[in-house]
Amino acid sequence: DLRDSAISSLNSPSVEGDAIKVFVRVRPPSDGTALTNGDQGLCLSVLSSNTIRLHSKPEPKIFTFDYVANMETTQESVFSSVAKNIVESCMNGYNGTIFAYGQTGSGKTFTMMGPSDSDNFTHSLRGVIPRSFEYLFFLIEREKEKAGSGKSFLCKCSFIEIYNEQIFDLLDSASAGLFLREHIKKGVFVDGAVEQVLSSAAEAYQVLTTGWRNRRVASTSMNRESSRSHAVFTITVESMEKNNEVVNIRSSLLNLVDLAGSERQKDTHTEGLRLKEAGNINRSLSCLGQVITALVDVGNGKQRHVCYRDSKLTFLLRDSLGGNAKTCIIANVHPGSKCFGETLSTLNFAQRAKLIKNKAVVNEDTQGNVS
Amino acid sequence: ATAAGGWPAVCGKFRAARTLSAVESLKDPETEPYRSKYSARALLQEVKQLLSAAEEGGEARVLAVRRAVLEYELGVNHTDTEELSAGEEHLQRCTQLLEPHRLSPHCVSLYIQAQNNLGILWSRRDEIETAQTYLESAEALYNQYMKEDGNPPLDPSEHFMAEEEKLTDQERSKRFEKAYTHTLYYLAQAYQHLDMIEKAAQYCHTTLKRQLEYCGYYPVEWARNAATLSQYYLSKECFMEARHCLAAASVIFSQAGQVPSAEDNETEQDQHDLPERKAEIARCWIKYCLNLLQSARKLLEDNIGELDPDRQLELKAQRKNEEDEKEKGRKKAVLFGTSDICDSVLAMEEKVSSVYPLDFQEAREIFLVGQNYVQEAKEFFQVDGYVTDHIEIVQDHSALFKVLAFFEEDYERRCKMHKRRIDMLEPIYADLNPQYYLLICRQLQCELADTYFEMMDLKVAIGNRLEKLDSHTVKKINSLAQFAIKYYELFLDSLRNPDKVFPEKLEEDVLRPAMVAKFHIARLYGKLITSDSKKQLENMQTSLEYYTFLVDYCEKYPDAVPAVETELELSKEMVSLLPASMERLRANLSPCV
Repeated sequence: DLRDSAISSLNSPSVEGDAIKVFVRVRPPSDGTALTNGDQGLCLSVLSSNTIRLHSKPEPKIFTFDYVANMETTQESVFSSVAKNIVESCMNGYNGTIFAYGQTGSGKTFTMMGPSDSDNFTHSLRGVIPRSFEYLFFLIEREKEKAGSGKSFLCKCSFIEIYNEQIFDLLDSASAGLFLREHIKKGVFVDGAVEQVLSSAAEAYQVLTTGWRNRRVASTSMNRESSRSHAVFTITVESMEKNNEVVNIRSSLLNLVDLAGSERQKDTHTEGLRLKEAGNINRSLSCLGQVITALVDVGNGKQRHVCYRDSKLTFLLRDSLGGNAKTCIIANVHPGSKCFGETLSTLNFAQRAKLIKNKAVVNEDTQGNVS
Repeated sequence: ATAAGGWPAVCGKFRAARTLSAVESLKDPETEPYRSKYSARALLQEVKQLLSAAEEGGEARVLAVRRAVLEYELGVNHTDTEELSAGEEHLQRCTQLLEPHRLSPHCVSLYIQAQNNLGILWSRRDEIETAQTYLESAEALYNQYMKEDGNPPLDPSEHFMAEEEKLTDQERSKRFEKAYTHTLYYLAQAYQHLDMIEKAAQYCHTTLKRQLEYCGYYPVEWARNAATLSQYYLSKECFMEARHCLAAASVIFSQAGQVPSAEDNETEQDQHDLPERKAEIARCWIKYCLNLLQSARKLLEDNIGELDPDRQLELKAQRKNEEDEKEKGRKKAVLFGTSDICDSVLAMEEKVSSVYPLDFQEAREIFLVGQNYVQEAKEFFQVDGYVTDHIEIVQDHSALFKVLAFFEEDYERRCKMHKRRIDMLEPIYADLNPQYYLLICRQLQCELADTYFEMMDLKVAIGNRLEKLDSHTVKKINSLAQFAIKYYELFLDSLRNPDKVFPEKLEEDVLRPAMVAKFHIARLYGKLITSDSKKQLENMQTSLEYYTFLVDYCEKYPDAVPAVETELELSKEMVSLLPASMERLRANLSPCV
């Protein structure tokens, strides 16, 4: 049947439109390892604003990305080249996501938040997230002035942490594990997560600070390792524009994600090649399920159902990965030669991420009609 | 004859080492992760010293086995603490000591466990082939032992136990079988890593079977694994095996929360997940019914996709002959469960056939089973909260109706089945936000368009049997065609960029659906019925434009041709024929002027 085969090609996840933008940022080595010996002790060099050379043996390897920030690059210039554009698209009704990826200690948190010991977001070293707030509210104010009373905005935010496949609300430290749900109009959301209304960048800092502090408390008191958790800060921007009797509502999501250290993901990857051992009780022959799922995965396009869901993080951000959003990934690397292996795997990951394509669609909904 | 403290002290040390290793080590601080393991190792070394001091006294074989036990424990200890080479040495020494006695009930279990651990050790070195040889030799030893002896063998821990503590035969057997289950479980993983998919499936199946036999399972997880395995069998069109897995999954799932088990306490989370797991098994059943019907359709259809009556007769005759053969095959298949469970599984299996349905009646029975599972799955996967899952289930429901319609001979009734599909898909589509569900929206647009197209075809066929098309039928045909066009256009619009421009070059994943949509729209305009010649001319013109799009596009991007070969051929033909017909029509129109 001609028609069936037309549909079957639609059944695989969509990959089309704009590729995900990939940025690489090289952090300076910590003070101890001084740079006096020139390039010695470093495993990479930045060749230009979009190429990087990894000193691998026997042949050095050259990687090309959308943008490469060297050790001298300021927080301000990282924000301008990475996030500015996404915040702007967010104002225009597109969904946007910014991920920070890299091994623990490669500078993810510095890039996204700023210096770890400071809650002060007026600090000149503040990171992408606080700067995104400032810019977003700057754009909103400008838009309001332009459109007058015809246009109004509503911003809300939530801040969650995914640890060990469980979801915790960083804005409500008393809450138990939360669940992901889907809404036919609103997509995927965390059921029961606190949503705080924001009216200024200052309020956003406040929320971010509270959540960040909760994350730290949880990591000490509840034995969660923050290097193994993902933190997702989400801002919903809703604009309403009245044009005669027609109301245009646009809404978009901006997700700012601090991913768990990539070395953890590598662990699970290498473990994937090994045989998983059975523990003391029979129930832990649990890896059997993974084997079976892998068997079903090779099923040749036949109708089937696999009883194991993808991870919480990919489910939550499904839209941002090969979906309907503008997405960029900041791959953070540490240049020290000790980090060679990790750096190589981060760059390889970033290279692969470039192949993921996104399709961004303006989120516009026309309500009401001319009566 | 043993050194100070005597044999009881040796046993005590050994026991202490095992406790340190298995229990205490779990509480070690992160800064000293192997503290208890190292203490256990020191104790084991001590025991080893004591044993060699007593060397002269004991019986040679007993001593050899005791030493082998220590080598085994040390081997596992070293691998646990990431000293693989040392671990390998100990494990090798263990198997060397046991080699002459490996088939004796004193040694067989230990030998198998040593081989299991060597398998794990080599897999940690990423040498799965080497791991495979150890595991396969463990498997072979088990089989040989069971064939030649079969009595419950000693558990390795018993070699350091006082006589009065020794295990019962039942406990021995349980532990031995468990060690062997682990062999099979590791083999399943090894085969999967080596891409030996069929073997991996077979070993998963056997592991599941043994978990049931030796009561070493947790019902919900077992059921989930069996249900997933059924989906593997579906992809191989092994419906008997798929049904067996699903029936067993349903039976075992129903035990969840009922069988109190000392070992595996269900957590609150598990209780919370029960309705979801149940719905997931139902979804596996839906796929079973759907695949069985679709495979049968493939066997029965002729070259235009209709039921071929000759083929139907042929297959019915063939089935009669095969029935006896099937019975034999069934007995050879690996069945789950013992007596009680087995009976329940068989009863469950009887509720739905596993042979291809060959006529409407048979197809309907399978359809109804599938439809029941659709209801069951929807009870949990409601649209509010589970949009994607819910829609997938509705899509399956629609697919069940679609394939059932193939078996229906009466066109009117067939049309009603397609109408049911429209009725379930349209409201969902209307509510769905393409901002988050773009892919599903496109799937629904295409499916709705195709369904309307199909209904229109059926109405045309019904109309052709009449002497003259009545106005009601004409209206119906036209309105169905318009709906089909509407949904194809919606799909094509979804491909436009934010500035509403249609892409110059189509992405690979939407290439075929987009071209087929264009092609179908062209055909639909060709089928619209009108008595107004000017209108007809317009329709022909539109039709020509869509056909031309296909031809031009393929000329510009030749790599698109393989995806739409048939459609392209027909389009080329139409592009060459249509202008002439339009000319004739125009000529008929103009004489009045």
